[in-house]
Amino acid sequence: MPQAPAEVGPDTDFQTSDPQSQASPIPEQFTGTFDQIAQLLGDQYQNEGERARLALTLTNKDKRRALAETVAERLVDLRDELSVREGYSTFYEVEDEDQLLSHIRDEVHSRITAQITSDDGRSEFAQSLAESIANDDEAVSHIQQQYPDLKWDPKDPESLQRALHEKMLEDFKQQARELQEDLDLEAQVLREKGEVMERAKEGGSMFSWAKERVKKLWAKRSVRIATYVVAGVAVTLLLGAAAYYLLDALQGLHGAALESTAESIGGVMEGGGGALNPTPGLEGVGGSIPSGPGGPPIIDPIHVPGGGEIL
Amino acid sequence: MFTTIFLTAEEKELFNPLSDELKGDWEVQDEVINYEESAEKQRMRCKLMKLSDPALQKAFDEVQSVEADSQEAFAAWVDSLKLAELNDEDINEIFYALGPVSISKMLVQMIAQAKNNEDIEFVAAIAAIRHVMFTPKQDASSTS
Repeated sequence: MPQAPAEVGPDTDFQTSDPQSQASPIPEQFTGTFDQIAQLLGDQYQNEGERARLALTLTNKDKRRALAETVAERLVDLRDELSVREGYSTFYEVEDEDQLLSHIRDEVHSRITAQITSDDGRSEFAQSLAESIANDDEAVSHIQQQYPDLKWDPKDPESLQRALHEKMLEDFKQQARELQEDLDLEAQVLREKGEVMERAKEGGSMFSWAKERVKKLWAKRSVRIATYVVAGVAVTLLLGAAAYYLLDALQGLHGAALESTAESIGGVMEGGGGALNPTPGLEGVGGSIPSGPGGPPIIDPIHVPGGGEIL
Repeated sequence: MFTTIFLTAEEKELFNPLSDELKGDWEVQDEVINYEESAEKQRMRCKLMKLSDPALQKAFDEVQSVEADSQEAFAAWVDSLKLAELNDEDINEIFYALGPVSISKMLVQMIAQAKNNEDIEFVAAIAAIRHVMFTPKQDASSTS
């Protein structure tokens, strides 16, 4: 987060079109352009190096989400200042800060993303990022890692901007395609979820009984779900199938021996999942996952980063 | 008390060799899960999870906001939940987010590690939830 307080200048002197609307407290004129973001985040982003780093962040779809969070925090920080402006009463009146932050973050992310997905705005957005990145050697060095085949004429500085613009356009078009696929999947899952929840609603007495038993017995269970969800579908199925066929082969053995072997395999599977899919980079919050009685070995604590820094 | 246990072919292979004492009076019914799973779909189900308990939703949002691909943190979070304290709607949401493939893998392990009647009862309850939620109505004959 930027430390220095920033004046909200003319470009960010936003007004909502509908001050009474609870739906979107974020200023309508904030369309997520590079200049708007840089100006909102603070004076230090007028510095070429900082702007270049910010531009780099905007080229990355995952980092854009973290950036949206930071922009949202900044908008909330400026709430008192913004509240005295016409059109901001709704923005000011939202009392639940977490809800406000979450809403603004999603809106900001959506508007930045629209810069990438819009056929009209994409080129201009890529151009503004290319200009900033081309002005900073360190940023150029980073972007070369992102676009290893980036080529330009060192004798012609403008050729770097042109090359960057071209690469970014190509990249953003691909990101737009992926985003569309994501939207399609979201629509598909929402339809499926509607059907599943309808079945759950009409689940009847067996479903009620099942949930009551699960609630009661959940804490006593010996099997942890982490590995099954964590490892990803492909790895999960692979491990599950391997264990199944091994157990299948052991079926002729004495019951007690089978039980012992199954326990052993359970431990191997849990441990195997962790080894195949460790949790690099996840640090901060979280805690250890206790092992159940006779169950798999204790899984290492899973940590998540606190976040906050955008660059 | 329900006595039906819905098991897939793979699960039955593990259940059948258990001792009579463990199998008790459970009546096994064939379960067929036709579900096209993918890592992307799994992530999307998590993303679309909406919990009615604000504190729970906040904790979940924190897990989700870690990074785009936070299935690991999600799974650890579900493991840490005290389901006894959750309402039925939130439990539905959590089981939907887990999906039938993860639930089935859990069941395989749970059957393999079952030691007493309570373990089997837990298996039956989880399997019943999977049956109601993930078996289309025309296939779900015993849901009430």
